[in-house]
Amino acid sequence: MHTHFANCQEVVDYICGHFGEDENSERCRELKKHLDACPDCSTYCDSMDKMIGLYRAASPCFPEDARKSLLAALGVADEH
Amino acid sequence: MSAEDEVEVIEKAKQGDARAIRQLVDEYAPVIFRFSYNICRNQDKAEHTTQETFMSVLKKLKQFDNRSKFSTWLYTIVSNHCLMLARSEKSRRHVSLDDDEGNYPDIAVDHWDHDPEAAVERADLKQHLDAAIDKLAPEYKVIFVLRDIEGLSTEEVSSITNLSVPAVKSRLHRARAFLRNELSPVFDEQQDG
Repeated sequence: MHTHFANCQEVVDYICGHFGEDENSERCRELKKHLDACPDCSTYCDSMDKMIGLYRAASPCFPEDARKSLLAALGVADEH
Repeated sequence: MSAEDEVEVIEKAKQGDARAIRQLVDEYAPVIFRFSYNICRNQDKAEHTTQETFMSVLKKLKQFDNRSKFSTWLYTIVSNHCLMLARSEKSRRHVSLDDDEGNYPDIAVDHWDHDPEAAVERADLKQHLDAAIDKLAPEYKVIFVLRDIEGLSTEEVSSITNLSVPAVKSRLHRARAFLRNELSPVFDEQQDG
């Protein structure tokens, strides 16, 4: 049922890290087992992943005009 | 650029070599711009912050001693510029996440059945995202963007922000939960409609 286990793994690592637990500790292994079996937790992890994906997808590229202005401001404009 | 090449380029840039400075700009300005944009969600401000950051970088470059990664050093400078800009906009009101209670979402939630890249093409979703991010205090936004969007380790984020690792983890958790909760109604509505 875990289609995004790699992402949930990150969440487990985070949760374990948050409480000072080693990711291979018994408690973290139990947590992983729970995530594997719990649809609500799995859904929650998946939505966190989508929220981060949405944020990343909404980032624009650095415009060429801005690059030229930056180089000019630094006194190293392109030679050509 | 390999790590060895980067060290050489930085050394040349320290001497004022224009080509080396351009190389650093081409390598890192897109990263700095993206980071700044993700903090302020405004293209003009992000361009301004990128420029201010590189001005500071050139001024301080001789102090950079290769003991940390160059990118970590850059993130420290740009984070400070972003926080300074945010603090100068005193009219902004951000949601406080300092209270331990009340910021954690319910676990039983509807599934967000949308592809983020397709979703962000919708102007209304982008507006909701910008509005949610805008409410988040800059001190939390910086942590969230460094860790989750830029993919830095918790230790690197701790070093950049001069916060303890537990403080970084705590702020990250609250920022994630806040943003997710803010966006949930929009995604749920999309799914229902």
